[in-house]
Amino acid sequence: MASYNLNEILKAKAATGNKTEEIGLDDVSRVKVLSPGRQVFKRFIRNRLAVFGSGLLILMFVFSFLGPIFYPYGQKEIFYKYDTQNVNYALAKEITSYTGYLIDSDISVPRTVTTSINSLAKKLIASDDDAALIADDSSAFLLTRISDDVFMLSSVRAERIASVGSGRAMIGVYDMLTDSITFSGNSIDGLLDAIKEDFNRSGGEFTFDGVTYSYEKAAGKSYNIYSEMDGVALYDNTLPASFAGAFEKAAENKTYSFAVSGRTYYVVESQSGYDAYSASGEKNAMVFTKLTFNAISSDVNINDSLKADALCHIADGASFENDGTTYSVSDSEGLLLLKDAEGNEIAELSVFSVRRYTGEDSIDYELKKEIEELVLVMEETGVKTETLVHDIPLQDGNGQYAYDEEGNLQYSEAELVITKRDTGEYQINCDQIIYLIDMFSPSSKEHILGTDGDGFDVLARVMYGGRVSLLVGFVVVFLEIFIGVIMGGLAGYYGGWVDNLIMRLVDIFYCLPSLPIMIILGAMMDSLRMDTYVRLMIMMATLGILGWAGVARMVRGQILSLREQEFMVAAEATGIRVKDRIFRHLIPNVMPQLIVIATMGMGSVILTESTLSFLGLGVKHPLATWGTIINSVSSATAMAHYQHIWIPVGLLICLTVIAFNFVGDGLRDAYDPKSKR
Amino acid sequence: MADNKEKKEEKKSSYISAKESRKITKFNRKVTKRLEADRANAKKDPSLYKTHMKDDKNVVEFDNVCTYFFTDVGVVKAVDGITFNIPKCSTVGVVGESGCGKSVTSLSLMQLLQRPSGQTVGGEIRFNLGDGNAYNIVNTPTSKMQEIRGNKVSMIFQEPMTSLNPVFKIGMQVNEVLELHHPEMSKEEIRNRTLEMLEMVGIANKEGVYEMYPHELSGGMRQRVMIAIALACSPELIIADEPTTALDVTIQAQILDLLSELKDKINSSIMLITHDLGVVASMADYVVVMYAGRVIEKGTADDIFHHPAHPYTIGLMKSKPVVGKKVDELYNIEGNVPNPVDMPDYCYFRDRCEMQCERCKAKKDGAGADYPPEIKISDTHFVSCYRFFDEGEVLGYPKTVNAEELLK
Amino acid sequence: MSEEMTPVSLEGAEKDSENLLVVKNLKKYFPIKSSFFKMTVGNVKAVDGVSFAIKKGTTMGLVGESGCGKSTTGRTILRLQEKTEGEVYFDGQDIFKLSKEELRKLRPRIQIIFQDPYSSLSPRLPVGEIIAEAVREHGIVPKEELDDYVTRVMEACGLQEWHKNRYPHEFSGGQRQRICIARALALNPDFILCDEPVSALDVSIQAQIINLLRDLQKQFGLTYLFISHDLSVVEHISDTVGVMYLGNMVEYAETDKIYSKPLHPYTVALFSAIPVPDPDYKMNRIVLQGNIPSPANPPEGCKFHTRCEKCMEICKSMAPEMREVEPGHFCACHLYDDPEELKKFGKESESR
Repeated sequence: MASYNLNEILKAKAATGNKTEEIGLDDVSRVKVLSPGRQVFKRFIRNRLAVFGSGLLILMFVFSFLGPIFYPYGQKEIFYKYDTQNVNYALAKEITSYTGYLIDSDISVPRTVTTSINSLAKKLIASDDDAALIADDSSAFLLTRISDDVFMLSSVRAERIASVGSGRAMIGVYDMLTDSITFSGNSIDGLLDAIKEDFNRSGGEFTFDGVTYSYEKAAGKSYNIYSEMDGVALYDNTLPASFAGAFEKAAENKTYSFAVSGRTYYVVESQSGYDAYSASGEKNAMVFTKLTFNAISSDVNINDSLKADALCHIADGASFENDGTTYSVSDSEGLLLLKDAEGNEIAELSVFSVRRYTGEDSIDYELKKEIEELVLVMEETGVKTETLVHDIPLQDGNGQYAYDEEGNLQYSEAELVITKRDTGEYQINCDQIIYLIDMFSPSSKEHILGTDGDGFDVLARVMYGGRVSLLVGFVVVFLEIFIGVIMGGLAGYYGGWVDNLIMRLVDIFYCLPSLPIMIILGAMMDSLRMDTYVRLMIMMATLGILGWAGVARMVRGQILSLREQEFMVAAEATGIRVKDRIFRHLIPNVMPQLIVIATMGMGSVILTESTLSFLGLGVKHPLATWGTIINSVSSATAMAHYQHIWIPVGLLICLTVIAFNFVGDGLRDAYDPKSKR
Repeated sequence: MADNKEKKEEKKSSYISAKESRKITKFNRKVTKRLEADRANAKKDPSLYKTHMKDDKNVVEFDNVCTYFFTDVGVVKAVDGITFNIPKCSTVGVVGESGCGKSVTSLSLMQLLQRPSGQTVGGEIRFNLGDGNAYNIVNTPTSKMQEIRGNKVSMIFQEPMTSLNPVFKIGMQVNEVLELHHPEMSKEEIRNRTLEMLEMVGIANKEGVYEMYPHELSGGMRQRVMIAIALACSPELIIADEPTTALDVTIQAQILDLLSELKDKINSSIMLITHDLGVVASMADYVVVMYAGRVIEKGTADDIFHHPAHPYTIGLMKSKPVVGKKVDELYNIEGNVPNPVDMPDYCYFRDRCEMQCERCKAKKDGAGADYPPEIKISDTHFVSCYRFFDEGEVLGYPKTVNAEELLK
Repeated sequence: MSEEMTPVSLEGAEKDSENLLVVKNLKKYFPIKSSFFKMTVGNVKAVDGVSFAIKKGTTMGLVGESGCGKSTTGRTILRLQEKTEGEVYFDGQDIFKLSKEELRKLRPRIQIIFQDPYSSLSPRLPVGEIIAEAVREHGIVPKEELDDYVTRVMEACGLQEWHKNRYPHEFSGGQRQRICIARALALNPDFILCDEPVSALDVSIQAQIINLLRDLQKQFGLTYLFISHDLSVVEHISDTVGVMYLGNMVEYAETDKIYSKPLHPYTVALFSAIPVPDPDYKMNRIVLQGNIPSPANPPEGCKFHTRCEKCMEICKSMAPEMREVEPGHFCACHLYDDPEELKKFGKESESR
């Protein structure tokens, strides 16, 4: 230790009370100076551009961070709009096919039967027959014409009583191995025994049940069986004598039924000719009709069971009961009307259908009739287009039907255009209010900057986008500075191999192509389907890691020059530890340059982020950043047509970057006591 | 505790408050705008700057010159009512410590102040044009000034390292001045004149140096080149601003030798600005001592060095150790040279002065007596000190400008 | 130019407890590196064999022009940079043999004051903290006394207590230099290296600082190495003076002796060049011609011979040794060589 104790000496001296006195006109006490902070501030505000820049930045921050609080819309809120559009309102056509209504659900009607109804009904109408039998092995159905538009399908017990045919017809294959006959048509009982018997006689032809059969050897041990019919074969001996003649005649005329001595028999086409059946025990299964029920009164719900009942009673005109109410169907002046017990018209049954495109049956009867009439006129005159003015249900602003106070639908007049289509149908068009996503709407009161292609409010997205963009700027620059200061500080202070190592690392980071790296990273994150926010974090980290080199180089340079300053030598000479020397003496002196570089860096980071997001590599839609907003109009046509989306954002990016640069420049000048402005 | 509070307040008050700062800024803006407008007017009216010398034997007459800087901390009265003359063919040494306004005086004369914050707000600087006419430099427009600068007045700076342009050859830099002010000279003439100048300032290898760049020369050589440039146009006045301060003792000796040699050879006056009394003593005919923006004493070198009158001059001489004169303890003037902001109206040196008399504090408690007037104690010797109030002839008080009144 | 350069009296001087600082044949070369391969192509011999000893409680002045290596000598003594050769003993221990931690412990005892009071104070710390920082670091005073201690040190250096919270930029040069001195003094040093402490100051302030330094020396028995180019200041403050030229010490003696009768031609020229503040003083200046040669490529023989008025043949080829020309007065010049030897050399060169 030193040879004296300064503390003791000074204490003793202080005790004697010999204090140095202040001398007048001492500058330190007399002349007021600007505090260091104020001095910088003054120099800063003298720079008009810098003040302008800081004003802009403050605006930008308020806009981005406070704006969304007061702005009513969110960034991912989709907006819809109501638009009047000429829509296909309805379709009018004459019904040509038959629709079936179930009467007795206990009877199962095979699909083969229901599908054949349409053609069969048409054939019946053509042949002017009243009924036809549909028979197969297991079941038989009788289709009876009630009117041209209504047919009744009933299940019957059918018995084949006769056949008529001409020439040879293969009816089956006899397989000796299995000892059975596979029939190609209806099976004939007893034929197996007969053929076996004949086989034993080694004949080739036999007669069974009045029909002559022959067989020929086919592949292997099987034989094809043919019927050699010519004329009528009767299976029932009780048939009257005139039957055969009537049957033959019917078959010849291809009628579906014939009557002999008061009984009706049905003709069914078979493989070899025609079979005659007798039917008994009719049970109504289904009713098929071309008619559609056009509701006149909306009070009654016309369900399928009512429809079926009504159809069943078209022919007799009798009243019937359905679900506890009595109805009747009557024909008045060519109109088939469904009425209730009091005679109120409930529906008209018509083959002419007018239906909404949407499927709902909201067209009232009057309109339907009018359309029908008009169509008939058009049909006659061959005019393709016709206009009709009629009340249709009024839609409110939301596309819903409007009701008055009592809950009744309101109507308004509309122009309906009827056009004949090539298919023969008539299409009815009118203007309707439609609810749809409000895409690319120009600026309006509700959306000051309009909406974008997803129906998002552009202004809201610009605000939220500003948040992300500015935040990215801050975080990335903070990261850059953090790494840069540590690395640059170490390199600058220690020098030697540490410096060499870190500076080579800096060189490497300088030559890393950041755009390709970001592209690859973006593609990777795309394929991993990463969460938008995780992407954002990763992007910020990457930008920070790629960007620290410049900061490190600057800090190193600063520290190298500061290290040679005498106050650093003095700090070393007074034996202050390395840690304190770096953090108490060096870093505070680098601070101004750091602030400047950070401010300048902020602008370029925001630009980079926008570029990346624009290229679709950074933040992903629908999270808004200024880059993604521009990205949403990235095509040339979009650019040309939707300036209201990208021009404000582009301006914001430009202004922010310029503002950051102005402020950075201003700060640099303000901190540098040598610069003169 | 109370003591602590006081300290805090003291600390706070040492900084200019935001309000004061705004006031100062506003005032500065108004004043400088006004003064710049006045300058612009002077350009149109030659009568504003054409004048006559009081004494035709002088090259320059400083007459109550006030040069103020309107800074963020207030009005810095760097030069506040100084009056002295530079006679023809003589060397005037301006001595003072840093911040006393000696450099500002020379800059005012050259109109090289950092405008708009630095402004000569009062007084006249009369520059003798030789034909009986004179310019008042304060109002002279820049176009006229350019005819004077480098041609009639030239300057030698302290830093020979930075005052030469490193990318041009020495020859070119000397030629440039000649070309500018003597367009009638041919290239050959200019080159010859340059070489002549280089020889004159003691550069033996003149042809070689002509082709050299500044960095190839040592500090002493560069200063010689600077002197050559200054002399090139045979100016009426050479302002040497601390010409030897940055040089080593041996080189300083060389340059001083050169300057005193040249002094006799050329017909120029030299205004030698320095803080080194030794340099002044060896060079100057007249000496002006400045303190805090004012001339406190002026006279011939003999007056000043042998019969110093002002306590500051006396103190300054005593506080410089001299080789061969052993003293046990150096005399020291307590305190510092004050920064000329918000100066009191009493003698600026009073608080550091050991020779105060009753008159110095005539009005009590710092409200203060007036600043001492200029007193003539011999034909050539003037001093601003109350100690001679009764002995000498009182000439008058320095005329200064109240910054507030500039706005009226 | 090795051991023979050392004045005889320095043999074992480090063991003499009277000598606080002993410097023996100190050399500091700065390598000149070729820009591309980083090969050393030469050396700037900033300090080329300097030896001296400073007694406790005395001041040694080190004079010379800029670039003569006086500041480098100072900084190398403090081991602020590594030496090339030689030894430095502080209070008997070789500074260059200490470990980093030992050196750090020793630091407070050897302090430094710089020329430029503007760059030697950290601009972002208040004055009180600048002074207190190292005191705290080395535990010079108990924590609770630190604040009072700093106040007292400041007062001892002519600063006011309320200056503590001010920042360096608010002070004038002289006051800053006082802060520097306070910072050094607060560490209880034995030795202070004053590296041109007053060159940047005004005359009236110079006197204040010089008086303060002398005051402190008287009070605390400090030892100074006072580096300056200002001969008059050095004369005033020093007990012994060494004159340096181009990395070498050319003359060393007690102040009175060297000022009354300078021996070396360089010293003579240097002294004559000082301007005297008296217009009647007719100067007998010996104006040295030319400039100081580059220390990277110093002249052969006596380094001063290129500018010396009394240059002899021998000076151009043989470097002179430091020898005691008069008791206590050392000089490295062939003028004071034994005439016999000179003659001998003359014959040798003739014969060549």
